[in-house]
Amino acid sequence: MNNEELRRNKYRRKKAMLRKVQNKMGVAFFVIILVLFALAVRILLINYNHGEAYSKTVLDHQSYTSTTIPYKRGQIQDANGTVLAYSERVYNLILDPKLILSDEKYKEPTLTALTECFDLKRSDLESILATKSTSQYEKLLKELTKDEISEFESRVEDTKNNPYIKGVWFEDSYIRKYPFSTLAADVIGFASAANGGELGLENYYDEELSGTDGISYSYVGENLDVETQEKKAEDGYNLVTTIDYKVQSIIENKIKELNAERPSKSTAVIAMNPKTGEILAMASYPTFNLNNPRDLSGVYTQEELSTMTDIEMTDAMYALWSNYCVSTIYEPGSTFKPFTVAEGLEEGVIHDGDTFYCGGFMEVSGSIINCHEHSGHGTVTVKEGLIQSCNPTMMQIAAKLGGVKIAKYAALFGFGNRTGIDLPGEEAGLTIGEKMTVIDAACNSFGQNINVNMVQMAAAFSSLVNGGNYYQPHIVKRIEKSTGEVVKTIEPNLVRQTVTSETSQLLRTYLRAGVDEGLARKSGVAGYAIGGKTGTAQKQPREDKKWVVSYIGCAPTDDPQLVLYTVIDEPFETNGTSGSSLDALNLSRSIYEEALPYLNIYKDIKAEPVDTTNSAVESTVELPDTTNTNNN
Amino acid sequence: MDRTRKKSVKRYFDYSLLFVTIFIAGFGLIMIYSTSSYTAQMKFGNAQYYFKKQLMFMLLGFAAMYVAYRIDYHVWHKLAFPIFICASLLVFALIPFGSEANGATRWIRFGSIGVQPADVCKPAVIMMVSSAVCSYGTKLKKFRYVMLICILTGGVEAALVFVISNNMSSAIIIFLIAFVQTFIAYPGYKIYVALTGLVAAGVGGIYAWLTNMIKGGNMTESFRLNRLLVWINPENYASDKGFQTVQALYAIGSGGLFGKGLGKSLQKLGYIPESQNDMIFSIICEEIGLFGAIFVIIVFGVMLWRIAHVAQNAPDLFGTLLVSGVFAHIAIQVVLNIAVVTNFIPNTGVSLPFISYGGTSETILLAEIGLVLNVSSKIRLES
Repeated sequence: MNNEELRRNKYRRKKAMLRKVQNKMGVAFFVIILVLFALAVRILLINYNHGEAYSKTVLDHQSYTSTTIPYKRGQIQDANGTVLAYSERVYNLILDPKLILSDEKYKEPTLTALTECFDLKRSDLESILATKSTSQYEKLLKELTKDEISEFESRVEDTKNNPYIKGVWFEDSYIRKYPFSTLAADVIGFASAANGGELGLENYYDEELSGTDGISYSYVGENLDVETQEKKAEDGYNLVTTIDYKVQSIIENKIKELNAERPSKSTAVIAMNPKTGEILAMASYPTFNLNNPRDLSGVYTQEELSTMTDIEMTDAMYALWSNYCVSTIYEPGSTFKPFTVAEGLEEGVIHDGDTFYCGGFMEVSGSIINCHEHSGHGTVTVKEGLIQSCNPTMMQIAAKLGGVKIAKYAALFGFGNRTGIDLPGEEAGLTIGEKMTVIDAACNSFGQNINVNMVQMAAAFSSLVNGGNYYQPHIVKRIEKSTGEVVKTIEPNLVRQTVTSETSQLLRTYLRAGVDEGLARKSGVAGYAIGGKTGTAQKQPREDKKWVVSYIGCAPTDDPQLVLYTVIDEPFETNGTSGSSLDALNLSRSIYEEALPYLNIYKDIKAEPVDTTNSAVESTVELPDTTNTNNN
Repeated sequence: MDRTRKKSVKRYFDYSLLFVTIFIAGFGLIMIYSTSSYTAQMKFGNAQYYFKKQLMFMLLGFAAMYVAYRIDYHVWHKLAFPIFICASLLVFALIPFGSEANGATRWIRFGSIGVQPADVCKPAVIMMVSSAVCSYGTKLKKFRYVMLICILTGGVEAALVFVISNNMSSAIIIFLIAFVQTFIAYPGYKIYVALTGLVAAGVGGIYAWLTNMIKGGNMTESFRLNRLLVWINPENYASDKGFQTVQALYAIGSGGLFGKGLGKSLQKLGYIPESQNDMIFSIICEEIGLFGAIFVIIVFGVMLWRIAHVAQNAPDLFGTLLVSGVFAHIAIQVVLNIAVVTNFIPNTGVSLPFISYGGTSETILLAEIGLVLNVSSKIRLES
């Protein structure tokens, strides 16, 4: 009974304890529910207080990666398809330190492969990995060729032996190459990846040469794999120029030869097709290397360079880069005389066979203006006046024409206005216009007191010898897609009639006489019918006695296919003294000798070989200072 | 014969708990796939790598659950001590056999399967505490006995885990399980109220001290202290120590009401590393929003309610204590995990039960549910 009671008591106590414990379980549950409630509130508060800001931050994470696929810049070709400028695909080596460090297995094989395949130091790589450990884009090497990266690429592709070469990739890029380095440097110009075309055709046709960059972007798609989409780059258009590589190199070689022996300040030559206005060659000295345009060592000695300031360097560079043929203006001198004669003939103030008297000088408005022949030419016909380059003859024609007509013809021949040639930096030149004084008119007649650029002269002269048709000079004849599809053809642009074909024909016979028996005789090449005129102009200020000598000519004279214009600025040993057109004549003849056969210009069977060794050439003439008279 | 049949008919079975368990385990599997497929694709080239492993462990877990359900829980009363010793030896086995990961030794590998001794310790401690309390029986009225049990079981095991595997979070969980069990076993309240006040004051004091330190700019280079500094101002350490915390907050904050949609998390794409592990709740917030997060909390609440219900109706003290241990295990991990993810407490690695990736944890938890189900089946229905 007692035992029974004890057992019952024990059972009751046990039951009581169990009830207490089970109640406490309820308390524990209640506490946990409270805590869970607090946590739910916490989540609500995070969303309420920061929801907007955090959503934005997370959206920023979404930024898919995109890579630019660079376009290929168009080529520049000569008239026959010879490539003068092209873009070559190169590769930049990019390192992804974050990826390499993401797995211990990657670092060792990757660094080993890099140091063995490229000129990279292990210590440098280690320090990049240490300092830029979170970076995903470190450009290590630039402009590697396909050959240079092929060894590394083949190792990466060999995933059996090298499974852990990671975190290195190659970014496409292009570099601009000029296979002939200095050929037509200031015409072609150069381009850089950063600034596009900076000079010449590269600059003028920058928009056409430039393509559109493509883009490749990857993002995490619906199925959580990385999807890549690519928009291909559109390559730039190719330019087909009118430049003839062969003619251009003949001319440049001759210029180089002349200046090696008898250096001048500048020497520039234009060869033009007078029937179309196409530039066959355009060259100037001094020149530079398009593949290294900022290198001045070709022009200046090391000592000179070391003493130059930065500004002087920049000025020197721009001077070197400027295209003499379009950007420099000067007084043309006697090569202008054919225009004076043509104007007189056109206006009917003179006729073939008219005679003029030259006493070696002429007085105009109280100034004495000399002829280069101090003893005077005596009585000469128009033709003789032209081929002997007689100043008084020209001044008399100018007096008959008067300032108004001279100004009108200057405009008609395009002087004082840009020709609109497709090259940057063309200067318009300076003409005085209708208000010119008598002395201006007199000086204009032999090509002084008027400033022109070379292209203006070549284009105007072409119209004079081609029957009177003035074509706008141009240097690009076709724009093509990289596939060869023609985008645009630039046809010869006939601007206006300058003279009648009769006058043109007459001028051609005069010019031929200039080479056959006149002062341009030294430009003659046996067997070819060449017409030409020399010029010796005095630069401003007159007291410095600096000269520009020149020659302009065409061949063959009965149907001109080539106009050649040669200008030598401050020829060898003439500054402060006097000179002659000899260098210009010699240079022109040497060009004719090689260019005419190449251009398939037929020989004139009537032309006989001539000995020109003792022929006279035009000498420089000192002019009075006419600036005061101008102001009156 | 007649009586036994009658008996078995009247036996209780908590179907709600089974249903909630299956639901939450299934949901966990979906979230594992969603969070791990990107990482798995990147690392192994197989988006289902983690998913398949977890599925395997889950099937193993359900098998263990069934086994535990079939075994009469009274067996554990006598087996508790041997199991406790075995679990402790398993922890010791980490010294020669453990494999290291992330600076801590937590795994013992059996072929391709890794076992975390710390996870095995949890049910061992649950059984040990229950067994010890029942041995004391009704004498358990003095607080110091309760404390003794708590320290000799949970305290010792926690110390082992902390010292040998440098796993502070598991040690805390193990100790807290024992603590909650003894709290339930001890009839008094006052002392716990006092304890709670003390802890609250301590935490408040540390918080104030740290805030002052930050203002004063006195930073020491201690690892654990840094963790506390990150806790107070995670955005100041966003690129470094606070990265995970801040990215988790971004994920939670960017979810909005209904989230971005299942599988559409952006944060899991490399910003929350190993998001299938401890930070999985932040991805739940991001993908299914406040709605989903609170729903998950409610589902855990329901699960805990069912477990508490079984504990309250268990036929004897041992059963109640066993189930209260399972209750404590799940409740502590859920609370700590969500508290870490929401930066309520300093960052420490606690996985979210049934949802976070982890084979041992998943298997053990399901087996524990089997244990609860077995206790529930012993409840007699009084009609």
